[in-house]
Amino acid sequence: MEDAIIRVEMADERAVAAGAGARLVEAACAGDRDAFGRLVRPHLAHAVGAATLITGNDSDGADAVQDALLAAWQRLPQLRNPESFPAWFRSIVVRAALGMARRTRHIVELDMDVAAPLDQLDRALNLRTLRRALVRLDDKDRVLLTLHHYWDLPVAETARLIGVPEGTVKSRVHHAMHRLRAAYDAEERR
Amino acid sequence: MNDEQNDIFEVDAAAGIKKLGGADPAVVEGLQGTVTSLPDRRRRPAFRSLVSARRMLGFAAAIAVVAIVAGTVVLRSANTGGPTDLSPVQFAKDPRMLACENAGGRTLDDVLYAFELAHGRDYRANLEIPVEPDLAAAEQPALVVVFKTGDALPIFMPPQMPGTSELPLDLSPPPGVRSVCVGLTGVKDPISITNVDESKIILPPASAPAGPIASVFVDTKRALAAMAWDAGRQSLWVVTLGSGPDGQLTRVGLDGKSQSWSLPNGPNIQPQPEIGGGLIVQPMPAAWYGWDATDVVVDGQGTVWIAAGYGLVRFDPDTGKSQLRTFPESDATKVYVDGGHWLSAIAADGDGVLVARDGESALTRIDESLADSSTVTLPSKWTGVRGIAVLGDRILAGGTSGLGVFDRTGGQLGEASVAVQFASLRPMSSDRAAVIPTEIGDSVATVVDQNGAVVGSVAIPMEPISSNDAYHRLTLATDWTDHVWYGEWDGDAPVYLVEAALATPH
Repeated sequence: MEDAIIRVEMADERAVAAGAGARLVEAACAGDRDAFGRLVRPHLAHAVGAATLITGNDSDGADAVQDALLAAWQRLPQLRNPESFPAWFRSIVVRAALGMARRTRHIVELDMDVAAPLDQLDRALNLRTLRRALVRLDDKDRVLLTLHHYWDLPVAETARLIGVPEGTVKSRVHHAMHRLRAAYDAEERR
Repeated sequence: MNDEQNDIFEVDAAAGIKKLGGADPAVVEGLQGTVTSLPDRRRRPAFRSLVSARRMLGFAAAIAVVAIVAGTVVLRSANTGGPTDLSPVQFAKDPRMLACENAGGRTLDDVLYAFELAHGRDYRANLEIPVEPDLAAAEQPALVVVFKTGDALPIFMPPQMPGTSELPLDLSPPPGVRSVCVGLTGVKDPISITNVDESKIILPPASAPAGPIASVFVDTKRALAAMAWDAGRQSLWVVTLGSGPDGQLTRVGLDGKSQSWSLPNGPNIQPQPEIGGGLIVQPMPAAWYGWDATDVVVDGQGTVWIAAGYGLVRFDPDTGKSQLRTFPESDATKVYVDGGHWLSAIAADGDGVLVARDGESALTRIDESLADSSTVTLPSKWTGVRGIAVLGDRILAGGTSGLGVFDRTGGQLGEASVAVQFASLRPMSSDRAAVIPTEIGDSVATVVDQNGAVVGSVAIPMEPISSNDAYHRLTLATDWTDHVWYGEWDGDAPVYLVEAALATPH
């Protein structure tokens, strides 16, 4: 069953990449929910991952993506260039995750679920500690690191999303990573 | 923590972030399942009417150090190729030229440019005019002759009525037009096209000079962010950036003497004056979050201006003093569909600069005290200007949609279909500017006059670059003698100087 799902996802991804995305957007704009489902399917896993990183926990991340799905569905007719759906949907996910992070800031969970036993990186970076360090960062650093290191977005798209020149992205990532390092060290000392 | 340790941490952390973002397939499937229950668009219920996923799933600091750097200028053999000759003299005895002269009652002195087409049917590549049936099917070569002026409009006067006096008549051709004649090989009668708008005459690209006429090694360890030519000091100003901090401003003089200043790289380092060579050098001003220079220009007083994200620095190299003007920064916790409002272009304007901001259609003139002195409001079409050049009382400004010519009040005087990339529009003289490419792959710069008309081109010979890295782009500067300096943003290549190939060189 899982194989079948994966194959469907791959087929949808190829279809979207091959330009069928425009037709799916058109159909979804006309009210076809199945078309909308096929449109978003290739992006959902990454959307959940990014929203989880930005909000700081799994359930808020999932709620944020549900927010984003509703917003994307409602606003889809306003999308002027169907080819830009992936970038457009990413921006909605980031916006929804930021909103969720602010609403739930007072209940940010510092000790979140990480698969047990703890997955260790080759060079002994502890994922649980890293996750707590990410939560210590402010929103904009988490967004930047998510866009750059998780979503692997082109610099130009990252720059557009956060409202800075392209050249600025590089130095901001550098500074955000510097702060993550400091936060990680602090968490390690706890 | 040394750099190597930080690099290792960055690699590990990046991998860790990817792992932390691994989504539970059941969560993804659950969300996918909610799509079928999305509400109709026109009846927009409150979001919480959906099943909750939770329930469902369970210049800051600156250290200004004057230092001599190894910025060496290597002058190579003088260019022997020269620009493509668009002058009509080479066609003086060509029967097609003679036919055009006769047809228009003109002489060779009346001709501004002449160039050949491989096939007459190709005429619309150079003449943006309606279809000319006699040319559309012409397979034979053609000579395009562009006259210096247009033709007087024929006026047929009615008989004068008794008791009235004649109005004075202006029989001169309308401004901004040139008459064109196209002679086809082997065809006796040429095709005359009167009064073609200058902007509709597209000159063929002039051939490139044989190669760069000079090169300069500025700094191969940092990314080349921006360059500007300083005519007074006969120097090239170059901003280079490291990864994060470690920016540097360098003046590379053609006399072989160079200086560099470290740039501020964050808000936490306090600037300290330093003494170098007996000269007390004032620090660069405290900067903003990160030093992110995007452009540099030199004004008429020899003052260096640097645009960086949401900040503008005015730096006087003679005194070492600098000032910072900051602009309201976009809230980095918001997502910007329009890309924010950072400084997207600056241009020298007397003793100040004109500043354009992303997402805005107004240009702000900043004077030497860093105060706003005036605002030029452009039509909304020109929101998000990427390049500005001030040519006398004209302002050329544009972006990817084209290039506009404006007066000082923002009134649009003309428009050219020349795309302007980020910081790619540079003045070359008092009445010319170059739209220079900033993307690898576009190797020809376009030279326009103060009306926006294309008057020449500059070939920019670059080594082919295979990488798709967004940072691989060109940065360029023009001097005021029809030369262009170019360099690669993130490469190890030196900065080169090439000579412009203009139809009508100064």
